[in-house]
Parts: sequence; structure tokens; C-alpha cells
Amino acid sequence: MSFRDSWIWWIAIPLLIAMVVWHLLRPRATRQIVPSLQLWQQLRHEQTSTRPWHPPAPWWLLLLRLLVVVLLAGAAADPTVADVAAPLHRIIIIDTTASMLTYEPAGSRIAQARQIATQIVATSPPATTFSLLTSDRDVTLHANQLSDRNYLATLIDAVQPRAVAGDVTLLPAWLAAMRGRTSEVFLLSDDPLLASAPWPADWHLIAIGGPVANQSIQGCTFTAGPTGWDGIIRIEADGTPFATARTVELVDENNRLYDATTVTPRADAPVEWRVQLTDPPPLLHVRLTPDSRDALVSDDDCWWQKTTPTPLRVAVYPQMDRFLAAALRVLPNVMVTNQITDAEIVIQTDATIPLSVTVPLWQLNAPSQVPPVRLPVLQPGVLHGDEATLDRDIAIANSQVLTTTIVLPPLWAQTWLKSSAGVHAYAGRNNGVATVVFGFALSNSDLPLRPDFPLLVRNILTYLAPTRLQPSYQTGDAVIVALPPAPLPILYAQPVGGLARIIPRATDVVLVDVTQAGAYRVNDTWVVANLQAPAESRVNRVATSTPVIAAPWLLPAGIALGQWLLVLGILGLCGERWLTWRNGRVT
Amino acid sequence: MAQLLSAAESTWLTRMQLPWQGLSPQGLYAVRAARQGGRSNEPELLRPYQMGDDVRRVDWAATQRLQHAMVRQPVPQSQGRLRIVLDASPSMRLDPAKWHQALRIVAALGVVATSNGDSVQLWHENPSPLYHRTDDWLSLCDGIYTTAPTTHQFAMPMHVPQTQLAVWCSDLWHADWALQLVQFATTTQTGLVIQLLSAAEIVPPLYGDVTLIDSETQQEYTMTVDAALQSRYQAAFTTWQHAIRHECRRLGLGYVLVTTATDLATAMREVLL
Repeated sequence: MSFRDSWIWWIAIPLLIAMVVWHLLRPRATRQIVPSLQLWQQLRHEQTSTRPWHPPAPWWLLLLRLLVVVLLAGAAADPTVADVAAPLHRIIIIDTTASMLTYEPAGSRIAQARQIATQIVATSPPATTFSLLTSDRDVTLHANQLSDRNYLATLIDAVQPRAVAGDVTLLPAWLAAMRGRTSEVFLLSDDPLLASAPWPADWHLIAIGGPVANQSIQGCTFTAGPTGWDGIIRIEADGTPFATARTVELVDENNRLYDATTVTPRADAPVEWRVQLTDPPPLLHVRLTPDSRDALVSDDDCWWQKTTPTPLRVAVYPQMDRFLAAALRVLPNVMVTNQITDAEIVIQTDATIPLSVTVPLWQLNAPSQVPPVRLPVLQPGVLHGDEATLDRDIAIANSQVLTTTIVLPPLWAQTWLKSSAGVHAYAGRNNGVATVVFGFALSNSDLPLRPDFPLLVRNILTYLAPTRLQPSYQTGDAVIVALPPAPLPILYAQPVGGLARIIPRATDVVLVDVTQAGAYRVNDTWVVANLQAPAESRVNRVATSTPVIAAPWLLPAGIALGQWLLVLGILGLCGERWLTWRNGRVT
Repeated sequence: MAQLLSAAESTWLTRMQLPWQGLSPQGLYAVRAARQGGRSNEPELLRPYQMGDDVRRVDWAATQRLQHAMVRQPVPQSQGRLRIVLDASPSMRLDPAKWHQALRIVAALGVVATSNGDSVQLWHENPSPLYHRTDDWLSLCDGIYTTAPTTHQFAMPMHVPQTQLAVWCSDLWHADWALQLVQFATTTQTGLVIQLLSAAEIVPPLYGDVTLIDSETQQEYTMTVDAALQSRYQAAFTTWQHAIRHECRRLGLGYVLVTTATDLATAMREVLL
């Protein structure tokens, strides 16, 4: 056990010594006039001696007093218990800024980082738990204290750089929230700023990529044209146009090189290029050609993504509004427009969601030439591949629908729900875009009445946006929400609508005790509790970019221990006062 | 001037009676004489034997009863029907509440007597004249209460004519309390002892190393008071109080214990009934 405020003992120890001396010293007898001594003299009690020291009779009272002081001092010193027997916890942080896509002879930097992370996992002691984070503009928690190494390897392989620059200022708050027990931190990055930051000494900084130089591109601007990728690229270094680069290359996520003719230096502005693409990829990397890249090492800011607002239609039913509303909230960058008409909510993505995610969730009233079918009994089809996740952990056989249409699965789709009349739901990837189509409104079926319905929603959301689901927690979990410094107190909304108060331990970390099922809101951060409990679904927890992380119990042990010491100290003080009165010694 | 009794209390006290009120003095004397064997109708003083007294005046029955050699002495007609002996020793004045309570009881007894046409006499430091008027009596009591306390060792009045009723208001914190009870019993035909104690005398708030100083003798006694000693003190106090009660019963005296927490109405009911 250690103490955060150990200076308290510099006060407590002299106090203990003074108490012992005070106890041994006999206090001067007080003079008291009484009506008569006749009864007192009859008692013939022992006369006090002239020695200045007490007889050692009430030693237990002295011990009790010392114990009270020790307990109260211990409580004030903010004790902590170091759980030395706890298994090792390793936190792996992978830099996912755009520069990690840089290709080198040993492979891309992200591939190198993945390989090193996999080696860290493979060489760790058996009982080690792992947390996997990625750091770019945001910090994303992919796994928290996970011991399943196979699943962890899957998560590591799925780590992809984002077309954004890095923001290292978020990491300390995250790690301050996650650490609290024996941890080792591995930071895999190629960012010279990230690597040179004054991190704690026990961090393992693993540099990815070649040597760094002093100069880096600090700003690129891309002015999108009216259609597609038709715009102007401008590169600046240290605030001035970067004139060294004479040519650039355009590559996508798969390192596909686009035709150089589409990138034309402008005659009147040699540091700007005109870009025209007829079949644009969702992500585009502007890469300097080797002859002009020698002077540059980091090109973090030369990534853009093309986004297009796409309307999404989602059915919301009274039985599921709690779950689905919570699920919608955990989809980042989704804006609910509150256009509710006939049990529908129209939501629309904002401009920052990649195209691969912004797909229709449900297509209600799918067009069909076949007349509606009434009261069919649905049976699930056999799904393969990624679509098999739609049936995970649920049993929806013999589902009944009031009215449904027959939909015709295209070649890229697999039949999900069918009846003797035909297919009523299918799923698949249309040009890589995950799509689920229902021939009926879910409110016309008995699916929302089934206990599996939340898991059905979860499966659909997971299938459509596999990396966009917020972590969810079981009720009673302690959730750390990183917040900017705010005046106290901080209130948060509970699922039932009430407000509760948060007492922060630090300026940027607060504790939310999730005791109710549903969605919590702390400032603008949503936390979903019990949407998909592990006991119900075995769903892998994947966090997203919102800095919300789950921790089983991140309260410093000292809080509870200090409170216990305080309670014991007060009880001891009461007992000491009672015994003092009982013993008749007032000091 | 301090008001020991409120107007309401005085009014209430005028409706009360002393135990003998309603009987003539001669009637009481006859009862007393008959109980003493019908020797004489004249009042007699029964006092402890002193060197030089005529042996023929020894009252053997009283000697047997009181366990002291007692002699009879004819006295003239009693001077008052109620005599109140007030212990004004330092122990009585140690606690102001106790002294206040004592004077309230004394004043109340006088009000009862004078309001019914009887006379009352107060033995304080010196005997007072007989009072027949309530106002005069209350003025006397108020004057005693407001007078600065003086060091005064209590002494039971001796060689005084017997009276029909005497009340001794004291805390009895005297080493010779038993002898004083005997002396008090000889001065009256009907006697009542009111032992007045404060709460601190019943349960002393003393703990730890203390030097106790006797308020009467200024004698010092250093001791360590703890819970065990407190328990032993309580046992000794109970034994002492039982001894006083037993001695009063043996001497034919009434006994009432009044504390400073006892209200006047309760105290007067116990005293008069």
C-alpha cells in the first residue's frame, strides 16, 4: 500500500509521538470544591502518587488513540493498493495517421506497425491482457483488456490509417484513464512529433519508418470541383508554398496509382495541381514523386476523402425505439433530423462519413411487382461470409408478418428471410457497399416483440457499419468519459430522462456509473449501456473514435480504501471517547 | 428584590394546609401528653443530658427510644407553631440553584402557615421573630436570599422551646448528622427533615485526577476518579441516604429528599402530605 499524499505522515508521526508522551505524563490534578468529603473519604481509593508518569494500566486506550490517528492520517494520505499479483496489462497504440500509408522497402508503415504489434502480443506472458488503441486525429479504442489473442490479431489486422493528421494531445487523457493498474504502453508511430513528445519513461516507443527530417508539409488545400474529383491541390510547407515538389502522384487506399495526366501542374502556379478523376475512389492520397520527396518525410496532411451526403432511412418502432435510438446515437457523425413521419426517422450523414459506411440501412417498401403477401411465416435462409453475422445469436425462425412484399435478390445478395411465397429480405454487398433490404416494415412483424430483437438490430448495425459501433457496457460498469475541463458539477442525462451529477477526479476525466440500460449522455458524448451485453451476444467490443472507453473498475483503489480508513477512524474515535468516559480519564 | 415565589405560586400555596392545621394547640398537646403517659399538660423540652442535670428529670422512655440520655425540662408556652430551621452552611450555598431551591421551599412553607393564620419562625443564623403576615415573611426570605453569603457553620438550635412542627431544611453534609437529627427531634413534637441535594452531589461530574476540597472544612483530598470509583460513590451515597432515612424514622421524624431539579409543587406535596 502506498500513499499519494505521503506528507501527511510528516504531521501524523510527530503527533503520535506527542500522544505517547502526553499519555505517559500525568496531568495535573484539577481542584474541585465539593460539599463534603465524607463519602469520598469512605471510599479509600488509591491516592495519586507524586511520580510524573502514569502507571501503564490503560495501555489499550493509548493504543486505540494511536490507531485512530493512524487511520485518519491514512485516510487523509489518499492510500492506494498496488495489485502486484494482477496480470500484466499492455496497451498498444498504433499511429493511424495518413503518413502510416507510406510505402517503404519493408512494406507500408502500417503493415510494419501491425507486424510489430502482433509480435508484442505473441511474445507476451500468457495472462497478459491487451488494450488496442489507434491514434490519429482522434483516439479509438479497439480492445480494452482483451485476452483473446486470436481476436486481438484480427483487430490488429483491421487497423487502417485514416486520411487525417495526428493529434497527440488526446493520448495523455486516454492513458490516464486506462492506466491505474500495472500497464506497459507500446507506441508504434512514425510521427517525429509523437515520438519526441515527453512521454513517461516506461513507455516503449517503437519508431516506424525511416529517419525523420526537419521539414514536413504542414498544409494542403484541396478545392473540390462541382462534380467528382475536380479541383486544385495546393501544398505548403512551413506556411509558404512548397515549391520543391514539381510532380505529384495520386494513389488510393490500395496503392493504386492514378493516371498522371489527371494531375496537371498549373502553369501560372507551379505549386498547384489540377486534379480530374471520373471514377474517384473514396480516399485519395496525393503523394509526391520520389524526386521531389527527398526533402520531405512526413506528408500527413496530403489526404482527402470524398464524401457525399446520403440519406438513410431507418424504421423506428415503439418497442425498439430505446434500442435503436441508442444504436443510432452510437453511429458517429450521424445527424438525426427529427423528421418523423409514420414511424420513420430520416437521418442523413454529414459530410465526413466515408462512402463505405453511408449506405441505406433499411429500404422500406422496396419496389416490387409482386402483390403483397399477407401473414406469411418467415424462415431464415442460410447466410455465408460476412452476411452470416446477421443471424448471429438470434433465432428468428417462424416469424410472422402482417403484410410483406416479395423482393428479388440480385446476384450480389443472399436470401435472409423467406416464406413459401418467396424472399422477403436479403443482404449482401453491392459494389462493396453493405446493404440490407426488407420487403416489409419491421413494425408489421412480430420481430420487435421477440427478445432477440435488440440483437437483431445490433447484427444489422454491425454488418452495415462494422467499425462504427460504440462500445456498449453492461449495467453497473464504470465508464470513463474524457471531457474537457468544465466547471463543477457536471450533469449527465440517464436513459430514463433524469439528471445525475458526476464528481470528477481530474479535470478531464469523469466517472459515470452506468446502472440503467439505455443511452447516457454526458455533454455531447453518448454512452450505451446493455445494448448488447456480452452474456447475450458474445459481441466483440469495438470502440470508435469518440473518446469513450470502458473500464471494469478504473477507480483508484485508494478512494475506497481511504473511505474505509476514514469510517474506521471515526468509529475508533467514538469508541475512544466512550472508553475515555468509561475509564474516567479526561486528557 | 428577588422574587422567590411567583404570584401564581403564592396563590396556589394559600390553598394548602400544614398537617396539624384544623386542630387547636391544646388538642395537639393533649395528644402529645397522652402519648407520653399523661404526665402533664404543660409543654416540656426534651434535651440531651448534660453534666449537672437532675437525674430525676431523665426521661427513661425517651432515653431508651433515642439511645441518648435525655432529660425533661418544663418550658413556657411555645412561641410559634411552625419553626423552620434552615441550614446555611457553605455546602448549602455552594450550588446557587440549591440555595435558591432551599429558600423557595422555606418561603413556601411560611406562606402556607401564615395564610392559615399560624405563625412561623425561621432559624437561620439567628432566630427570627414570629411572623404572622405573609408579606413580611416573604420579605424576610427575599432578604436572606439576596444577602451576600457568609461563612457559617451550621449549629442546631439548642435549649429552645418545643414547637408543634419544625422543619429542618439541610443537605445533611455534616459528619455529625446523626446527633443533629437527635437534637432536632428534641425541639419539636412533629419534625420533618428536608434533605436538599443538587444533581452534582448525587452524580458528581468528577473524572481523572482531582483534588477535592471540602466546602465546610477546606480539607483537601487528592484522588483519581474513574468509573469504578464512581460506582462505589453511588453505593456509598445510597447507603448514606438510607441511613438518614432510617434514623429519621427511628426518631419519629418525617423525611423528604428534594433535589434542585424538583419543581416546587412536587416538593411541597411531598413535604405537606
